[in-house]
Amino acid sequence: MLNIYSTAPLWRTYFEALGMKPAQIVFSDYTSEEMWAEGGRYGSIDPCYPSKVTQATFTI
Amino acid sequence: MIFKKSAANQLDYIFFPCLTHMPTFVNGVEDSTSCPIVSGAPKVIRATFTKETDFFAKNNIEYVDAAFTLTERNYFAKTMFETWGERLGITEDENDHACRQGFDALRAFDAEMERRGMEILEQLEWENKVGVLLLGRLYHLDPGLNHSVLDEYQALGYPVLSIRSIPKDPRWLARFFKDDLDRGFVDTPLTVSDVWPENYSTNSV
Repeated sequence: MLNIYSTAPLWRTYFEALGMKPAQIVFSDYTSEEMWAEGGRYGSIDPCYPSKVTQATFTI
Repeated sequence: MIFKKSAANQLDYIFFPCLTHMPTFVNGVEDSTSCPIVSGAPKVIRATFTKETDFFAKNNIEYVDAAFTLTERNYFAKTMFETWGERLGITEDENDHACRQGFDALRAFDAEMERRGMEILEQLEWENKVGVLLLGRLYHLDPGLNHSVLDEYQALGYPVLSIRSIPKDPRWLARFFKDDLDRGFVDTPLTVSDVWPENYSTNSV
């Protein structure tokens, strides 16, 4: 999410170069209405939706 | 959902780096800092999920939100080692090697994007057709955030390119900036120094 979209090859390759298998590296999901509906209540007050929606990605 | 993914995958760490400085292909800029809201988001997330209950601890996950610059490679390698050295049980040499591999992968990815971008542009020029360069933020690659604008244009038959897929080879770009180059207004096609009247956002005054 956020600027991981443009830098993902750097992070993935770093961990793979240290011997991690691809299956050990999991990226977060794309944003969706359902995700926001479930995770939006974990209250940060932020004017920026793309930043604010990241919290929904973590939802339990 | 990461906590759910965790249940399925038994995640050990959630890594959400604060990226303070991003690589840039533009010359002559004073700096290339991230949007402060975006670069600080990982800290906001930490606060959100530890304020009343520590959801990371509850899920046996360690949350890693260290800050990194992508424009100073030695400092990047140093902070990556400080962050991951002990956690992953790696040496500084292993860390530095992995950092170099990472930057190589990023460069290779950019080169591939530009190669494919050039193919599309040359095809468009050959066929005298129109393509669309869509300027957005990095996270607009997320279909949940980009309002399907890319798909709309492509459905209408206009290939959509991102700035990342525009070739950065100065020789290839030169003909588009011929006048500026000829009169010495810029020294390379990628010199951009006159976009903003001030070097800070007027919104932050």
